[in-house]
Amino acid sequence: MVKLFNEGALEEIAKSRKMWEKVAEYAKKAIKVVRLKYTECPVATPLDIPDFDYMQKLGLPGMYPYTRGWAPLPFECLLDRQYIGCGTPKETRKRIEYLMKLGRKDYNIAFDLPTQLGYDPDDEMAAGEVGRVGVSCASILDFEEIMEPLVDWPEEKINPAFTANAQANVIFAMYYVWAERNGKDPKKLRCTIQNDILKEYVARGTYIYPPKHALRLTGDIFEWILEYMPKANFQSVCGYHIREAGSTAVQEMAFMFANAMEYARLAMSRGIDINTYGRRTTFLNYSGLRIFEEVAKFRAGRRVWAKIMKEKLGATDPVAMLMRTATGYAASSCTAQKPLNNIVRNTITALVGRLAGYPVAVPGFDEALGIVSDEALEVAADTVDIIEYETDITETVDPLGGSYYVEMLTDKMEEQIMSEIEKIEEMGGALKAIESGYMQREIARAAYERQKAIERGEIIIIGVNKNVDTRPIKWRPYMPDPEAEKAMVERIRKLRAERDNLKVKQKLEELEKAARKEDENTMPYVVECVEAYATIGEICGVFRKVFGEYRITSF
Amino acid sequence: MRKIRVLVAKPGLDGHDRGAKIIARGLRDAGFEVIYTGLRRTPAEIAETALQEDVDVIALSIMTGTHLFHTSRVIEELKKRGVELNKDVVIIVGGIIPDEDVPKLKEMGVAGVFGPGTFLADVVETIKKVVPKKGGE
Repeated sequence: MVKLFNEGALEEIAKSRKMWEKVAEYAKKAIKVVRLKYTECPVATPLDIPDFDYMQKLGLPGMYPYTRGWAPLPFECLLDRQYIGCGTPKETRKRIEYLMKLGRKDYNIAFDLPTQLGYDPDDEMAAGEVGRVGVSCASILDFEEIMEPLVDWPEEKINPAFTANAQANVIFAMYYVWAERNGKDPKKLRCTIQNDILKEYVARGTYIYPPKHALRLTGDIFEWILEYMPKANFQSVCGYHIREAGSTAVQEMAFMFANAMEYARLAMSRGIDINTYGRRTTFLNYSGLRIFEEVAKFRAGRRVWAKIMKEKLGATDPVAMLMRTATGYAASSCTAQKPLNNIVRNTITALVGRLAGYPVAVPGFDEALGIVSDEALEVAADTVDIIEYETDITETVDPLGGSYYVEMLTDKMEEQIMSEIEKIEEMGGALKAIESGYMQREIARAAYERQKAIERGEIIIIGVNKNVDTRPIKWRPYMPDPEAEKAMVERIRKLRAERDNLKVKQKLEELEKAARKEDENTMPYVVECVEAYATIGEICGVFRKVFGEYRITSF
Repeated sequence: MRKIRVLVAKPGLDGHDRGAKIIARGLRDAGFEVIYTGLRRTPAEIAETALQEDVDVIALSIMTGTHLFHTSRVIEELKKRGVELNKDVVIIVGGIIPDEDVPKLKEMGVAGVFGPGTFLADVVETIKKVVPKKGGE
């Protein structure tokens, strides 16, 4: 251990700080001190990190414990991946083609809620929801239409993302079948499907089956990927939705890592090497407006994950220890009141992400008013580019590293994140902590406490509890096509009338048998169902029948 | 005196329940009895639960822009069960609701509409104001 500060220097600083306290006391009479009530550390000095060991805590970027960055150099951080999906597959296809003309290369498909929950467009549960918050994709026919803009691309250039979790198995299968039917070698194809079901129970709510059965399907996907689509990512483990549900920054990281540990152990139980798991897994995070706390969160996160992977889970491959995430997004920090102010908020959150060394994207400024408009999308894309190209933020790695304040906060964050993870480990891991309702309860409590603090005026939000403007908000967000539902209902009825229904029935029965056997991998059967034109509702229906549905009514 | 009973409900398929849970906790702390349906309840299930639990208020939380659709269906299901709106039960709606839809909801008989940035105190006040006006009590 080599301490950064020697005893003599610390003594000098301590003397000086005592003097400073007197000066500060005197100054309080003369200057208006800013919200001192909330400030724990009005000035940071080496005294706040007296034992700081540079090599142990930081090292260099791209080297263990990765505090300063997972890459050794500043890297281009453009998230060239538009989150897109609206109405029918045809409408979405047009939108993708338009974005491609503008030079965008990749996209992340947003599915509508019926698709995310495994309901066909004509299911009673889907009424009113088809094509609303994303594209409706009920069968391989719909999927092929969405993928049409990529059909002539060489395999190595194709790298889409899909926000699919509870029905990730069906979407993986659709991607595989699309490849085969369109002359692509699935073994050469990349893609990222979110495939993080645990955070659905914790935060996002788009779960179908009980957690332990859902985890089995995740394990089936991991195994199947290695054999059939080895270039695809396993998953993107999300702290993002956990934070949006109202968690604290510490909970965001702790619950995300606890979930990732559950997945890592699941992978290992299926005979998958921990290094393989680590290499195939990325994260997704929130960036808040409390700049330094957030940067500290990310720096601590990198250190925590590297330590967990190396010391707890036994990874040996450095790449497997990296917390590779994307961030910048903080939709819940956007207000409906005075929506243009959100451009400022989004600039700050994007800046936070870049200061932390991660690629960023930001929401539309009309996020709190509905589905993002074209105008807001453009401002969002430009916000990121202004930071990237007009500032000097990309010129050095971890510019806040070495700040006494940020290092102190980073240590504090690490300690709190680790202690929360330990707590969950003691409960038996993330699955247990979710089944008992622990994570959900803690987040709901944090969200409620925050709301009360806003109402008491302790947390200030411009436009909400300060500088309030009571005039009506003049803004019309994007409106989804009201005809999409009708079109999709007709489309699926036509499909059911024209396909070989005997074959569909047979394939679904085979899937059911496989689902009932605990040691059978269900993925090849899902693929066969998709090939036979079985619908998402039919495939998920089989799992619903075998596993049952999950319901949470506590708050 | 009987406590005011509130059913906090999430119709439709949306899983974002931060608002619903905050409202549920806030109303409970304000002294109401609160039941939460959990996610993805059909209008029929919501109406049935409201009837079985004999609630005074149904608080619908809808974030996906489907508020007009789902609210009208819940009202329909209540009618089918002989539950009279603003006499047996009042409905309030929260979520991402464009200003221009507020009069449409009020026309349906909704007693209060609450958007992003709402204060719990305002919801509590609205409930305390509208519940005693119900014909039955």
